[in-house]
Amino acid sequence: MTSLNPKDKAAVKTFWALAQGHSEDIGRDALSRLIAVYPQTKTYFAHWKDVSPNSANVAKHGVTIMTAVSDAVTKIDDLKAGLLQLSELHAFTLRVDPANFKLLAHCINVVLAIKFPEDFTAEIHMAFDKFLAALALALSENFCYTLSHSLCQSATVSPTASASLPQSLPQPLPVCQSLPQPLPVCHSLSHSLCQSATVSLTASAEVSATVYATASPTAPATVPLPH
Amino acid sequence: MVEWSESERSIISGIFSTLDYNDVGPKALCRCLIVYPWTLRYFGTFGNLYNAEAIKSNPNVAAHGVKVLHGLDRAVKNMDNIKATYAELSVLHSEKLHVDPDNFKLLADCLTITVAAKLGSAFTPQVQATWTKFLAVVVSALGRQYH
Repeated sequence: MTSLNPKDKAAVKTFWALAQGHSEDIGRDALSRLIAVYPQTKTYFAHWKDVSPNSANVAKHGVTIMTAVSDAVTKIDDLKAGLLQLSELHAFTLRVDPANFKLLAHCINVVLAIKFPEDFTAEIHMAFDKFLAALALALSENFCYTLSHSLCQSATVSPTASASLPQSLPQPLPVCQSLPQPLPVCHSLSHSLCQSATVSLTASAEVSATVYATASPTAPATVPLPH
Repeated sequence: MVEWSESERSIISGIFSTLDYNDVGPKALCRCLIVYPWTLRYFGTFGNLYNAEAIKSNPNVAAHGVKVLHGLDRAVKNMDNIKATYAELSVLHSEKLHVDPDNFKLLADCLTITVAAKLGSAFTPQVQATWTKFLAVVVSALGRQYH
């Protein structure tokens, strides 16, 4: 759920029609600035040999990010659904501290101000900032280990999953009453998440307990869970 | 104490020497009031602030924007002791104006965007890093005397 009213959405779409053609430049510049201005964000890219603001990796990744932002504009009416897979990626695999989304949003705004000094008015800035905040919220929504019901419903069952469950998980596995049976299991939940599970056996559709759901079908193969 | 390299000092004084305070100040404050509307709570006596147009044409807002820039100027001229320079202003914002210090960061962000629009590509990532460091020190000094 976003807090974007129709006026905000219209403003974002209108402005983006103007800016879209420059999306790759914007992405490269924005990520470069994030790294230069907030060096702590480099920690997420430690696997690159060159994490300097001008590196090729940073440029390429900036394009990737901005392409996704551009795509999100087309999904502005339901960011939560539209960004489900990206949200899972950021929540379960990348584990980005959501505070960093705000920093990147600020850098994007700075680039837009530089590229469109006349068009990036205060009103457009406000609408775009709200959009980026809604985008960040949609990306971080799945951070809580009380997984959303929509993730449960997209669960698939792996026949090898039960064999790979650590022995110290509670047996039988706690269930959400509205989950499909047999209970789907997560390939990639960390053991620490499993251990902090609490159970609520209410039949409400809203999941209030920790559940074990698969990540998206494209998730990596079963990861041996540390004991 | 905050360390400033020669390059950082010249970047900051260089930017401020190019800024028209009468233009940038009002623009930055207006942007803050429009983008983060809860900041309007501090300007109840300023008259008509009911919409973006009203805010942009409000002479009290403009005058206050200029005042803020001149306040920043004091930090530029005393970069080695911003904390002491702003001690009184910090007390004022806390005891008299009752401004939530989170809002200093919002105004700083809007000022960054206004300056970026003015300087264009001259506002490189490295310049932005120095500028952001400077404003972070200012914001911290302004929040220092809150208790």
